[in-house]
Amino acid sequence: MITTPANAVREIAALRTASTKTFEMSNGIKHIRASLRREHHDAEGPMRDVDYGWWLLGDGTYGVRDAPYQVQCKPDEIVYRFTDRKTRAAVDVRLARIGGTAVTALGLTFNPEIRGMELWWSSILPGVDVYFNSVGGISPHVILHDASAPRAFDWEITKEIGSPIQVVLDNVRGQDNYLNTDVVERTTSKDRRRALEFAPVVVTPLGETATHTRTGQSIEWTGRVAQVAPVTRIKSWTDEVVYPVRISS
Amino acid sequence: MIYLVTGYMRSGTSMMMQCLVAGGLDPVYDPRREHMNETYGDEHYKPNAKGFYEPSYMEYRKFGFPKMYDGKLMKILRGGVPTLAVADYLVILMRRDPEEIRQSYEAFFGGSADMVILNNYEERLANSEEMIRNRRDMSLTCLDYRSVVDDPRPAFETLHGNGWPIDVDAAAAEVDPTQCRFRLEQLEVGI
Repeated sequence: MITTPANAVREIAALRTASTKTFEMSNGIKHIRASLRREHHDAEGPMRDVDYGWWLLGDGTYGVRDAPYQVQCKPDEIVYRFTDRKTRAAVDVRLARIGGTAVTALGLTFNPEIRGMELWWSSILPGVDVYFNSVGGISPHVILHDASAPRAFDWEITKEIGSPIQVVLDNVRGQDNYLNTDVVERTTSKDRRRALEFAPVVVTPLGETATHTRTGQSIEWTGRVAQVAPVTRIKSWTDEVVYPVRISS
Repeated sequence: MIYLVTGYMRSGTSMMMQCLVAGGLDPVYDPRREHMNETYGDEHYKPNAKGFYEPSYMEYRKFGFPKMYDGKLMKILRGGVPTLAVADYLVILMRRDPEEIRQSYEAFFGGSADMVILNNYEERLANSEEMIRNRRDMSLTCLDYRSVVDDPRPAFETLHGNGWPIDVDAAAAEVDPTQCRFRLEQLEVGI
């Protein structure tokens, strides 16, 4: 039987802040551990440890249980519901179209898979993975494995009118796999991420009910990536993409 | 008189320093700042192959700075000018297209340049110019980096006419157009 000594190190939960934990050491000294990342949330009472990991919930959905926000994903479509725990305001973000075709018309099979703080839908189409990352908010990512994969993705955002939740629609970015390949000789000293070129993000109002608004966000990668000339470091666009590429929004 | 070169980084301030030194002025700078060529460069690329001509940060804290450098030439980046003690200054403010600055900056440091600053480049530079002109101890000459690179002599003639004690020919001969790598007409704007 293992017993805990009376003077064992213990956390003083009452002294928790959003980013610190306080411990009482065995000699009585207090030790504070500060983190750049959020450690706790108090959305539902006393400060609790933050856990950004995904879980299969009892109702068959996938979700993040212990973050300042709730996230819930249905198993049969690529969508997440983000709910602020304090205000209960919610927003739904749904992958609506791929390559110009409605997701519902593609006859996709969904097999979400939890990978720590990411929820993956692998190979939803040939050469296409989608995943949601839940750290510090939630962000959708698309992985394209080859040049034949579709490059246009439309997301649909539904939220209550007047909702305080902000969904950033135009901060789309991406990179190819240049850094991680042995094929390309890295002639510049810096590990430079090669940014993808996107067509201007199109944000379209899709309609409004008495309680909700719907907005569309169309993302299209041009198929080009920024390369850096070794001698001058001048950037230019090239079609010579190193796959896979990742698109984040 | 203190001779001052200022402007945004990557806008030709180092080139101007190099030319003025060739033209006969005596510079104050910290050679240790040259480590940036090694830290940020490689066998192909050096951010400033011919030097940075920058004083160390400690220099600004010295008692008597910058008056003890009377008669000397210094490069003070734009942010350092407003707090300079009252003295007598001849100042050059270097201008450059902000897209050229941005791409040159990103080549130097990697990552993304501070677009908030560069998006307001003209306004901020105009503020700097106004601030310098409002100081009775500063006499300003504004120069465009690309104009100096493309045709150096008129720029140094202007400086000479504005009281800069330089050898115009020697200064102009020091301009090396190959060091101007980021030319707007050859760049993919916004990349």
